Amino acid sequence: MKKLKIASILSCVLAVAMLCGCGAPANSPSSGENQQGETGEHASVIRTVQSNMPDMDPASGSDNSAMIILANVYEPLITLDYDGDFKAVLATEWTSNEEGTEWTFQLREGVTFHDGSNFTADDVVFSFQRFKTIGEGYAYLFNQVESCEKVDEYAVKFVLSEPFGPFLNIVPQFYIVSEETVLANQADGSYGEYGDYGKAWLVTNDAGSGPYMVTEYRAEDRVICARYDAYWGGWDGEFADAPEEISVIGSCEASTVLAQMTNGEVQLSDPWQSIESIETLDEQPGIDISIILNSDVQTMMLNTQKAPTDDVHFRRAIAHLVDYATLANVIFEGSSEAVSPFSSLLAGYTEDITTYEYSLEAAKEELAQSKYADSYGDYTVTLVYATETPAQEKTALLIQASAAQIGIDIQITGTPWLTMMDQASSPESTPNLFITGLRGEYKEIGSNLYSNFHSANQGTWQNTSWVQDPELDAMIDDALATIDYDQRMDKYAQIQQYLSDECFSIGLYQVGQMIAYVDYIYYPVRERALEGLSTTFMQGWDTYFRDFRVL
Amino acid sequence: MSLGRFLVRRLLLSLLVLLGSSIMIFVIARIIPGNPARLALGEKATQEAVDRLSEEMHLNDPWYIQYGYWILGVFQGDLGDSLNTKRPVIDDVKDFLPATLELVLFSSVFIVLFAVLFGRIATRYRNRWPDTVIRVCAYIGVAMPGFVLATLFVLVFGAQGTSVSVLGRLTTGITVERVTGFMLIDTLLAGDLYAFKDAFFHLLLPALALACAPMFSEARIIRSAMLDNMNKDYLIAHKGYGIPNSLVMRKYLLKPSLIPAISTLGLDIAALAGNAFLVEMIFAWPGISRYGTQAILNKDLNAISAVILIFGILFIIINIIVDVVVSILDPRIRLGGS
Amino acid sequence: MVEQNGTMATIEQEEEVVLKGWARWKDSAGKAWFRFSRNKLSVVGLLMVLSVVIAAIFAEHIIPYPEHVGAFVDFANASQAPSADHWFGTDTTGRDIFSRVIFAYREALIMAVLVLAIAVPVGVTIGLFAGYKKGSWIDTLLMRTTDIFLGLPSLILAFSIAAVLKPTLTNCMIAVTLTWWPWYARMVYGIASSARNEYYVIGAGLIGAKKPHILFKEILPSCFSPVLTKMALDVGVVVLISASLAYLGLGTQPPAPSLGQMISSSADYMTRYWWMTVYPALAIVYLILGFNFLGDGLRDMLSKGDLKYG
Repeated sequence: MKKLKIASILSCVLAVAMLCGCGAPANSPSSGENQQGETGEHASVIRTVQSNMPDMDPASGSDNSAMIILANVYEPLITLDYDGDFKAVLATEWTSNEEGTEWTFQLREGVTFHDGSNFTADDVVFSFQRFKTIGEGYAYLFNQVESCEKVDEYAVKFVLSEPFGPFLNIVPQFYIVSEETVLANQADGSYGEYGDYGKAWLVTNDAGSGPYMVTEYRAEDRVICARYDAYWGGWDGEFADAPEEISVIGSCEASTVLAQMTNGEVQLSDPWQSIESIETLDEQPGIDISIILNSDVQTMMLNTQKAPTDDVHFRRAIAHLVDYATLANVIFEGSSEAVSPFSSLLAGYTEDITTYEYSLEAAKEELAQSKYADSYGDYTVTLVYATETPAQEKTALLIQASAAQIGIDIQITGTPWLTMMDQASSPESTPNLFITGLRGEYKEIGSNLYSNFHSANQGTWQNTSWVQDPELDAMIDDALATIDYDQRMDKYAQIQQYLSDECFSIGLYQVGQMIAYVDYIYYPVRERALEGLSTTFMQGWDTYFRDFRVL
Repeated sequence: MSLGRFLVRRLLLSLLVLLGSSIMIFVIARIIPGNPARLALGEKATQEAVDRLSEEMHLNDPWYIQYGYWILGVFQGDLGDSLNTKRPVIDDVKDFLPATLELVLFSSVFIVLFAVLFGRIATRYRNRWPDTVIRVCAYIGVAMPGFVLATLFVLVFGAQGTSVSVLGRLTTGITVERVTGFMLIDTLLAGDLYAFKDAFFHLLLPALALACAPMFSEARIIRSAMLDNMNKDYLIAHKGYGIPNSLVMRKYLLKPSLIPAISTLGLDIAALAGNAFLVEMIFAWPGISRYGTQAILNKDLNAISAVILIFGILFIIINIIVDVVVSILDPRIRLGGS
Repeated sequence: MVEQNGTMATIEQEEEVVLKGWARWKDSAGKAWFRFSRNKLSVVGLLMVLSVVIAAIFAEHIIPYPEHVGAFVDFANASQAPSADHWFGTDTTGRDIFSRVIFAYREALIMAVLVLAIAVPVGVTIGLFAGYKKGSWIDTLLMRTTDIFLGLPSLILAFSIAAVLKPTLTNCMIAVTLTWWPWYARMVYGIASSARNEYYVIGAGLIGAKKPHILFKEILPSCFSPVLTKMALDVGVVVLISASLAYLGLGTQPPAPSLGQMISSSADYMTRYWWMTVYPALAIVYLILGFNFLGDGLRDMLSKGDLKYG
């Protein structure tokens, strides 16, 4: 039995070591201290978590994680400020010709990129050419833009193939790279004389002019950025307390984030934590929760090419079955009720349309008028939600429960997002009801109208109603080509009324984005929201860290 | 058959197995929904961009031509580029494999040590309270799989007001030069004992979370095999000859009783690498299992093939070790048979 | 003890000559029951498994809130701690967890029994043959095929099956079974290759016993005990697997309850709403416990003679 004894002792030692160990290394000084720039008692560092590692290349990045890096490391010609007005960044002035087909931008002088090279019109021309050629990310927004030409050393001109009303709204999605840096780091690739256009290098490095520069890229872990000391905007005065170092960590497991936030590893959470996790975070001392209405609208798209949702009355019946108040106020606290799949933050949004209130009676009336009045019991209505967003199971259950009360059988399937995107490629494989979050790509409703309802964009997850309506397509095209702002807004309103009548989609609720943050940072959009002021619409710019303060 | 000949034969056969499983994976992975190029570039990418990437990845060719390109690359040490990390897959593997191996090896030590220990305790005190405790632990271990335990550990040790970091491989701020990728070794090579201790404690909780369920169920299997063998005539005879009970237990009872356990133990350990992804996610552990799962969810074909190739090699190595160990425990089982 | 066993075996042989047909069956069944019920825990195990089976069959009639397993939501009563009204509390949708746990036994039992009923015989047979024929080409072919299947990650297999077939419970089980049998094959292979060198096996061959007899009557019984132990634990693992399959859109879909899903979806807020994780886990522990006790009893019943321990 000697071995048995030795083994028992060994296991006890291990167990004790483990328990002690959990208390040990915390307070001891760490050997490779990197907490620079102490301001007050907290290190001048803000780390945030996101669901994935950022794609830092301005020609391909487009998700939340990527936009945080782009907003802080790169710069566009213009952007939108917190009030929603255009704000000059690398451009100083902009004008257009009367038809809206030529836009000239005067550029800022004295700007340097992170490698020290000077910013000139050549960089803009090169960046645009690279952006369009690579054709990923937000490049599709610039379909109508034919070219970007150099006017002089500090002026460029964009030439459009046809008038595009919301042009200025898309310019913020075009970020400038340094021609010199990219050309110096080109590898072999499929872009002819430009090799790979610096794509491989830009995965782990940056070529921007923004207030922060990438100092370290740890694959599948995090991106670490430090202040760019020579930033043209400077770091004096109100910006002196901005964080010295920022990080984006590419994973946001709920329990992990809770641990990271309580032990000071992370200062700002991602916006995808469940209500239950947010409640737990809120209970921790020193952690506050920010609730801000963002431009996502959780939406249920109805497949118009599949029975029984091919009937307008049946679709309206479904719209009457949604308990909008419970969704916005109980299940997704902090959200607000939606009347359409469009966000109230978008220019052109109107509530002056036919709306559907939650009423089983009204649903029954619509059902009676539909061509399935006698046969709806024979159909199983399919509904999918993404298993990556488990909270949507509650939405699905809510709708299923009220449908069951009037005899409509809804079959719910939680599906991986990958499979949902595949299902969206044909009307036959698209389910009757498709729950997804819709977001405007630029701050005008025309963005959603085109992506979600124009037949030219069908086959994607954004456009799963499969509306085949040349009249609607023409209305959308016409609105987008209207240069006059007020006229364009009128046309947007008419289209919204039409969509509401046909009930191609049901806006479920406007997403109240919940983010946990440590109370010693000044979180600008949160402070504005508390004062009742508008917050930014632009993805990524709510985490423009130069405006943050570490207190 | 000598050990040398056995190993050569098995390794050659293993190449066939790897070839078989890689073909299978190649075909199966292509059934997963979605065009990989489209998925990698996003819904918004222009058709030209998608076509260009499809061309680069040979996606328009039939699967056997694609397989040809892939296998040629493998022999040249090129596993292609990952669509997800946008880097050569070989670099990703170099980065993430050591982390998982370190975790798996560490938890294997837990599993082997405690499974044998608990198995013996359970046999010795069968149907008494130590046996019952181990039995109940085995059941709870199964009902509370690794990821639940991992979550519990992180919630209890990592949060709730403590300022201890249990996440990742090292406390943020500690840096160690990367030589082997194994933190415990790298910290020692750097002569940084403080970092070594830190790395050790970061390894402990995830390894324990992974080890718990297999540890107790192996203990159960060892117990039942030991009880089976207890009534074998030779054991009764040994006792009759007056050989001390402890020697009988160790030498004549434990050894043959380990045979069924070792077969599943080997598999359990190999499976740890594949099943570790949730534990890796929860402990922010930059491992290959998490990487492989992401690859599957994103249909990152090159990464999937590479990860499965690695897991295949792992299974094969462990199976060979198991066969050798079994033949050592029971010399009558000659390697490779008659 | 040894003598007692010896005596019993002799009596058995004598009786086998005398008794015929029904009477003989009845007698051997009686003896089996005698062996089985000598250990009280086996009877407890049988009762536990029976209680789960009954709960699964008559779930709708037993549970306090039958509507909570169907299309039902009650957000006003969401996340309530256990109380007299809701013994196990309510989930984040306001449904009674006790009702859902009992109802979930149905899916759990079907999954576990069917997966193991396919995987175990297939795996055991392959392992037996390969182990007995160790060193021959049959061994090589069978065991290397097993290796190929072992290396396949179940996630990718399930994903492909979900893509090709309809996401039903049956297809879900196909996916699980495909990844399950190699484990039994490997385990039995180890035992069989050891047992084939035992004197009783060699002896049986020498006196002219046919191969099926040697395989199934001589070698197989020595595999019972580890196989039964593993099976009883695997019941729990199969039940949990359904959670990851549900993530891929395979198998049980909302609102139908599933034990694995209940555990995995609530693990993140375990410290806050412990009842959402703990009770479904305990339900699985109860299930495995029952099967284990039952398995021990079956082992005693099948292995003739050894009555020494339970």
